[in-house]
Amino acid sequence: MDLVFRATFVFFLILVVTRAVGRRELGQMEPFDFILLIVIGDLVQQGVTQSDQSLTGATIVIATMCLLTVGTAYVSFRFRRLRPLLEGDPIVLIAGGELQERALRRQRITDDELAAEARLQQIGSLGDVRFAILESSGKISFVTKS
Amino acid sequence: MTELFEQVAQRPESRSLTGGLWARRVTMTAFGVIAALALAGVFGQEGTTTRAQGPQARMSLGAPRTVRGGVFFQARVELRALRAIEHPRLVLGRGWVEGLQVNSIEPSAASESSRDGRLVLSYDGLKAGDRMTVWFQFQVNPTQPGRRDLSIELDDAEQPVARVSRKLTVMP
Repeated sequence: MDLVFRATFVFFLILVVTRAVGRRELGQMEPFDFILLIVIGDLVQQGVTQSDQSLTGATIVIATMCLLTVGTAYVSFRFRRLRPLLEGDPIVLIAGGELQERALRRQRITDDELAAEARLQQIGSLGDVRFAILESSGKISFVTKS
Repeated sequence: MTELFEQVAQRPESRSLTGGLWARRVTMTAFGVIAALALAGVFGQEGTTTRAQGPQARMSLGAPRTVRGGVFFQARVELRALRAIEHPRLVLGRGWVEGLQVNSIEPSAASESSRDGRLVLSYDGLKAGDRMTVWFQFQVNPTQPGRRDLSIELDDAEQPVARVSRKLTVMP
């Protein structure tokens, strides 16, 4: 019983943490972020299974986590109002060729980072971009003027 | 370029898509059953108490019936002497220390011995009305799953006073 409760608590804790940290940090991982993620994973494992080394315990935790993942995906699919809370909305960074300074500031994205992302998608200049949207996955999608 | 998409789009729907969907549903249902059984305490760690009484004493054993490898758990034995017991001895079933790491037994026995391969813990005498609680702290050896005897007997020297029969299941 305790394993199900601990797995559920940690699942929602991770959900809150990922929503609080911001999608940009998660979408673009630096080496430090990557190591931090592994450390968090280790801490989470200790919190959930503690000294339990059994296959039974591992099965219970995996089953609970899978159910919660599918459950939140279903809730997000079924209830549109909960979608921003569970997944987040796309955020417009460039609209009609205009940089959305407020949105960039809120997401802690500099002009240089945005330009780097554009270059990665074979776009030569931010002046060529009609729309840039920060997707809920943390990736930025671009629509060019041409 | 688009023909790469068209080829896929025009292909008839694969039977494996429907089969895969049902396989996912069955898997998720199985996961739901596992989680529900875990919540119901089927996979261990829920403590239950079993009581026994004889003319000389009452005894209860509080311990989980099912445990999982690696976990810590506690067993508590409570004794209440109805008449004086001069030489109280707790005779543990063979499963008490089989594949279990004994972290502590409190209060410690005045002496320990073996009777037919069973561990015997001897304590100081109890007067009528005396209570005694013994705490056992264990950690389960994860490499030894199975079912074992967790029965316990209270003796006055060699004379049985009360006996609790229990089994302990260690999940793999």
